[in-house]
Amino acid sequence: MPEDKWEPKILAFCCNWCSYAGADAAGLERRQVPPTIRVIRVMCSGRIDPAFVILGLLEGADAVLVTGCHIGDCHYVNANNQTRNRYEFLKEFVDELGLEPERLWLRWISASEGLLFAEMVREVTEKIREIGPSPLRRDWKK
Amino acid sequence: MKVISSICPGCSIGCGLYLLESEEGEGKRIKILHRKNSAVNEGKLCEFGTHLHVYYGREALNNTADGREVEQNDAIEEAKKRLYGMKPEELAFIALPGTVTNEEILSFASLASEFRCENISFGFERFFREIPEEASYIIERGLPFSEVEKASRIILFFVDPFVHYPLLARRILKAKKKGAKVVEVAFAKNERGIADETVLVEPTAVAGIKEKKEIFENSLIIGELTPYTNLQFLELMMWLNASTASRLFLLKPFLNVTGAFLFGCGYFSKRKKDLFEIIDGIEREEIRALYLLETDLAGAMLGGEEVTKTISKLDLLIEQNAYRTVLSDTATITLRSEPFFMKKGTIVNIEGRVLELGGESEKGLQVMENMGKGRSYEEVHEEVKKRLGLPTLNEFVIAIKREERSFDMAEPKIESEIEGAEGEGYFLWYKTNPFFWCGVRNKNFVEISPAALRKLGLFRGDEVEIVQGERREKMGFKISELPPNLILAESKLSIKPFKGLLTGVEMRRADIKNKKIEKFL
Amino acid sequence: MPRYYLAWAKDERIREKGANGGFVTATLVSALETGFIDAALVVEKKSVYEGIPVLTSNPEVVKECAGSLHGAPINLTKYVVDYGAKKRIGLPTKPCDARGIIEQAKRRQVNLDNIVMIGLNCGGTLHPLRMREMAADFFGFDPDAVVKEEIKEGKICLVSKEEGMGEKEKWVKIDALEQKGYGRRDACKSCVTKIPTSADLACGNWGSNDTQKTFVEVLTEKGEAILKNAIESGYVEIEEAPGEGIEKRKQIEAGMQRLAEDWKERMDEVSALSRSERLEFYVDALKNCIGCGACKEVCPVCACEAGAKCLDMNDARDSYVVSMYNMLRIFHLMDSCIGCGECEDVCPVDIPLTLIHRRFSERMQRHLGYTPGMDVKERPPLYETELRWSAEE
Repeated sequence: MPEDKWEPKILAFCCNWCSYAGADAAGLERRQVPPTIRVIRVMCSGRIDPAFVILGLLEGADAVLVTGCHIGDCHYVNANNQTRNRYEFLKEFVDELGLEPERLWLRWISASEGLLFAEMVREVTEKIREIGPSPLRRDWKK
Repeated sequence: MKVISSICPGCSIGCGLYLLESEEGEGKRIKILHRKNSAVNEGKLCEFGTHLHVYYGREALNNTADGREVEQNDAIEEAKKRLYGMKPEELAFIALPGTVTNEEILSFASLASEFRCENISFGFERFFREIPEEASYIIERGLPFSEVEKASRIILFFVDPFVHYPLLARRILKAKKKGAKVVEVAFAKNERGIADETVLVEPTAVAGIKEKKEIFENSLIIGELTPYTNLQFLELMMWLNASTASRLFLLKPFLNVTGAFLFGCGYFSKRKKDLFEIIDGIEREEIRALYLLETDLAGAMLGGEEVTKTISKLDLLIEQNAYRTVLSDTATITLRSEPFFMKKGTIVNIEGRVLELGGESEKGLQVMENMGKGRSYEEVHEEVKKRLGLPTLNEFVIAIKREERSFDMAEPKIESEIEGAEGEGYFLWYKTNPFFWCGVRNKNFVEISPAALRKLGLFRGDEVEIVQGERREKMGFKISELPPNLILAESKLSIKPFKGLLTGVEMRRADIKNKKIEKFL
Repeated sequence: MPRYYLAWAKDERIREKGANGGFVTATLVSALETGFIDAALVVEKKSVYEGIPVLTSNPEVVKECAGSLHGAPINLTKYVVDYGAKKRIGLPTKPCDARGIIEQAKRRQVNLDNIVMIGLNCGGTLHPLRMREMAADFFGFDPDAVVKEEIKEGKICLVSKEEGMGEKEKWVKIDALEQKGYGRRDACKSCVTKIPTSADLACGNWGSNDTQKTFVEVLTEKGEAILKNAIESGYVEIEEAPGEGIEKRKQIEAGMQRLAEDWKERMDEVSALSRSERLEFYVDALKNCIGCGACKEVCPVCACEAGAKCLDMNDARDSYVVSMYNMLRIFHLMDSCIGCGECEDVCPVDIPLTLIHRRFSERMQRHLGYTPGMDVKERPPLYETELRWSAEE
């Protein structure tokens, strides 16, 4: 890939039991997933501290995806309810900070929804291509 | 719960604050209360000031003689006896004026004269030797911050206010808001973008700035003067000041530097031995006895290990301090004084305000007076007030004013800019700051350029090794927009003191494999 | 028992020294003398421009500290946390002190059972050095000669006493001062909590028809107990508040709140900016941060100590456009910022933190329907598993 061509870098947090398995399923089903995504597996989406998302944005991720089990399906009773709460905070935070709301996503994906995962990544990638690189990213002079 | 009005000993700005001392719970606890009515800083403090409890929480020094703990009076008598046993030219007195009051400086100077000793240093004597007398006011006196706020054009001469003197930064920002133009002359652009214009100077060609002297016209030049400042560098600043219609404001690292100039080491002291010359004298064994007043000599100096080694050649080392220092174990006699915040007395800050300390202890002064003349605190304090020409003290008044004078200055030669630079080396530049001198906490990293990062193939979590001959130092790094070969350090490294402007070093990626194994084993 | 009273100190000296009949001082003194509290946390006056918090069990010290002090904007919350752990303490609280203490109680840093908050209605405080400038520029006084200060009915009064000149008194409208950039602190100008409804009592001159009587609202059982204690021990006398007084107090409060909303809009330079300009504004303002940590230290809401996330996840070696410290502090205060402005007061590089925190927290708090520092039973929403509104969906 030529160096000057910008490609989105998308950071995805996936929970071990649903969305990570969903991503796996996408592979097993041989679905095309754009190579823009970097996955970090966590045991539960409830483990995703908002600080991780903010850190990801500061590190230069063009978008951050928070994914987990559907509400009610959490492996740890109801921890993803907390994820939803924190997402509300993050949404307001990102918006007020002056970043485009499209840089933050929350999706519930179950282990069998490989198609949904692939589609989501495609959708996010397209959206980010539209709005361009993150203004929080720092490029160092050569 | 006791409330003490105090002054931060971090740098020459002298921020006002309150210390709350409470004895509830486990032992004494010190808490900082921001003093919003302080004329100097409006209650604001930098990182050093907000962590003063760490500074004051260090291990206290005991009264000892030949390594044995003794009563203070016995220690004083012993010190007196041994000092009288020395020839005057074998004696030396050093006080870096970080935590010493005007009263103590006065007493220290008269103690030295009591022993007919000429070698008394407050760290800045050598600078007076090379400059014309009319220009000495620039070293001796600072400017009120209101002048900074009023300035229409400010030149930051190799000074990053956010790091060197954080409480100055807001004054510059205020000036900027009022429409002042801020120009920085530096090796690299300030990360925070405080300047409207940046004049970049090549590390290898500092003399080039002489050709651009028109940018200094009608401006306030802000520079820094430390005991380490290169003499040619000072001459360059003074020459720029003399040959343009500008004013030069030199900030200094020690709190009571202005007081030291007034009472101890002004222009009149230019023939006296300087800090470095005294250390040389000890090395050559010409000086055999040293009296250190509240000075962590090895800790405050670059290449402290070498200083420690030199000091061990002394026959007599008397250390008067509130806290233990690197040299305390080697000292023949140690005399305990109270921590700075407990002292009674006055200091003069860089603006020329005479500030009063809220403590009650006269111990430090009494130690010196008992060894010498034996005056009371009141007598010394009266003399200070008389010499300052002030019947009453008011922190809102600039008591020590400075008058601008014109003077002639020969164009300085800038030579040997980089010491020890060979081949494709790197240049090290120390960004001094309150922590740098007081050494409570070290920032364990250096700033390097993105180019160096790429060249050395560094990754996050890696460390770099900085090498100068035999010395090497491993530390973390931070990337900044710097010229490829520049390294900035905010903390003291074991790298040799620089006599040139910059110090030439080598840098490589540290082998951290071993470290990982250590961790896992 | 009705909730509104007019009250005053029986002791004439307290009445003279304290504001509006010296009710607050008398209540604290009586509580100390009868053992209702172990110690009082009061602000000792050093000059009109300066006060320092002292914890004392000596009623005489409390008497000395009587009277209002508008030029010493200190938030007492962190002192309550530090010194009030084992003792029962009573203290006068501005609305922001009371809200801070409630927030600390939510975070289990203080035990509210041990604390009696005698709330003071508050129109705002002034920064001492701005007050000095004001005395010189607006009043024509020598700042060092000012001996007394008072705020009443939208006017500020300074009394100056110079040698051989006698006393001079001058009243100036606060509004006129503030139009020219003097006057109250920014945080106070935009504060809408004028009556400390989360304290145990709320006292002030609003609604009182007599300058020697304080209007008191009893808010909790503890408040009622301390008032009863003061009456029974013979320090305080009360009468029922007249209906028009209650009405007038409400009107004053509403008027001041309207003014605060006005100021909020006027001082908000960010609202006119576009999204990308907004980011630029925040980055520009926060990049000056030197990482001293003072804002966290004084923050009345923040309860984390050395291992706080904002310190732990911040590395001085990072070169992000905005430091992790600032991002996390803003994020963690979104639901809890009470807008007291202490952080801006101590910021060594004058970052407009009051504005920044208000921008972030106000929209979040509106979205959550949550006001911090009001009810100790409400947990900070960030810690909740289920948010109220998500349960309603």
